[in-house]
Amino acid sequence: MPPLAKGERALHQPVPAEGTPDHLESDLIDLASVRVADLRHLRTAPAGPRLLAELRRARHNAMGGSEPGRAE
Amino acid sequence: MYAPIRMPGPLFDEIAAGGGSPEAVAFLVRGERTRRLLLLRELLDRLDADPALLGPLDATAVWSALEAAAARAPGPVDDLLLSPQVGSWLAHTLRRLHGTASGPPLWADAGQLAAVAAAAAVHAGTEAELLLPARGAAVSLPALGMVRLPGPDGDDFHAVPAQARGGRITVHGPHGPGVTVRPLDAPESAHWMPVHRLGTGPGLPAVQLDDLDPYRDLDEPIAPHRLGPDELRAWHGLFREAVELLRQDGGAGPGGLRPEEISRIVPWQAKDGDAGLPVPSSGLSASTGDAFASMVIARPQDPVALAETLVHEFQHSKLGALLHLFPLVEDEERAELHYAPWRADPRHLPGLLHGAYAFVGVTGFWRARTHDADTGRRDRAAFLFALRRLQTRMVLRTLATRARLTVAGQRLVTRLTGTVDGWLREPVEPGALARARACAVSHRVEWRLRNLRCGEDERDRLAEAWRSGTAPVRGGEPLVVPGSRGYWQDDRGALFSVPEPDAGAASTADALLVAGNPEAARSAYAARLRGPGAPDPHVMAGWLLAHTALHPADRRLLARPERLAALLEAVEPARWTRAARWLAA
Repeated sequence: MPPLAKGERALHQPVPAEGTPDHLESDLIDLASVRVADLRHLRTAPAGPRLLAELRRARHNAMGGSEPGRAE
Repeated sequence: MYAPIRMPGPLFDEIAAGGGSPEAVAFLVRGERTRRLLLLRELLDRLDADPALLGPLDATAVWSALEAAAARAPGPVDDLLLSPQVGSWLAHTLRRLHGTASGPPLWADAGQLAAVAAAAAVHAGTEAELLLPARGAAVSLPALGMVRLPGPDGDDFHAVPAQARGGRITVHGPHGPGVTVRPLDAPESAHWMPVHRLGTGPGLPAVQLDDLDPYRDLDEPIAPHRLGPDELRAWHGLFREAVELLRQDGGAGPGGLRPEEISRIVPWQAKDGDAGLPVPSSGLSASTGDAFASMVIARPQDPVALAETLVHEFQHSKLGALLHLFPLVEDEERAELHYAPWRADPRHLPGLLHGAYAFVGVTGFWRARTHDADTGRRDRAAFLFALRRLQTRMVLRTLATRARLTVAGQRLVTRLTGTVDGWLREPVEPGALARARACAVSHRVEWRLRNLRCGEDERDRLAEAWRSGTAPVRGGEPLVVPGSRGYWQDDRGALFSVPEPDAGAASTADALLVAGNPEAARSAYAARLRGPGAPDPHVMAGWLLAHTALHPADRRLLARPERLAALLEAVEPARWTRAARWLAA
């Protein structure tokens, strides 16, 4: 198999989930059934590289800055 | 092991088309809850690995307090977890730990977890003994308010002991006796400042008007800044009228908004009053994906402007939540290259997608206003509806052709395009439509002159071709040179928005152009361009707009005005019209 070009890199691509033709599957695990009180007792709860990469990107305050706010 | 979140296609499509039913928005909130849990767990793991991050605070006591409260009152603690205050704090603190944000002493940022635990204990009525971070005399309880301790205020950070029991909290500062309050129902006093609440209707959740929480800006913590009574009254009045307006529109379609789904408004407070604002306060607003349904807003002058801003910022929140679930544009594409008709500077493709999504909402909002009873408002709405649908469609085309969209991203852009294409088929009063088209062209031409340049080689070859009388050379890719002239406002665009400008005001070049007198406008622009120094891009754009109004066959110059600007550097002003005709030919 040829190497992936930049635009073809292994990005999580939401696709209709199996058996249900019209659902989109996220790369986030579903913690809807997890209570805050139980969070620490989960064996693992990986935030996932995409979520962390997005979170860690530097931001700027809106107030007191030199530019209008910029949605990211 | 947990299954991935699976979003039903019909709910995705409601959001993707620019609107969203209560069920669709609730699905996004469910995704936000999962994200917050994952981030909270990430923080807990980091604190477990290095308890010294909390400085004088005790991680075990903090977590025990939060767990006990969450076990007794899961609903209120979930609400707290989903509050914008907790969302922004959590994200900021993880950025601190990653090294991509700065702020107060690290223990004070990380230690806000104790304030979250204390607020949870207040909601649940559980008992807790904790050390809380204080900034001077201020101790923040997220989404509840602020305890003001006796003694002098300041900007130093220190830990103060606190006990929660039966919904009360007692905080002991270094000066004077402890302060005891019931944060859930205590009125404002010398020692307690509750978060202001704006009503959205009987039996519906109120919206926070937050002038206190340290984590109310987009990233770094800031000091509390209590609104004065007049300012607070103005916010209440404006918001009440904005809610009435939004209720008229329904809420599920693009441009609609159910006000009770807003969580918080943060008044934009410049450090030095209005003089400290980076741009004029009208329309100034911002939001972050870290704090769903929260928005920083400079108080506008009228309720229509506030309603428009609420719609605009809530669109950003919805798209931010969708982006947390699904990548829509590949991350690498963050070069600031593209034209965003609502901004002064170039944007990257993810920013362009945010803008397009927000302005689909804005366009829908003005479409609804075209049915308002107020005639003046209706006229303005027709212009803005026509303008924004045109500009948004242009950006959607850029996204469809230039962005590497994911499968979900393609579905989103397709649905948004469907919404706007439907609107483009709707009739608009011809005068408003013509002004909107002219306004869109005017902004685009000036934006290009301010942000793009011809390459040096193209400029030299154009000048040489002009001098030798040969055909103009073909254009290459322009260079993007953002910010070289700083922020600018579209003053000419403001004139286009008025149906019949005051005849007495038609003395400036812009006014002459907008009033339909391009001959006089071109002379006035030319007179200004003959002055010393580099040509003003606003004036150059006006000259070109006037020229193409007089010579419609030359309208192709509007597509690449930076080529004309490059050529005119080598041509004396008396021959500019001839040079423009040569370049267009």
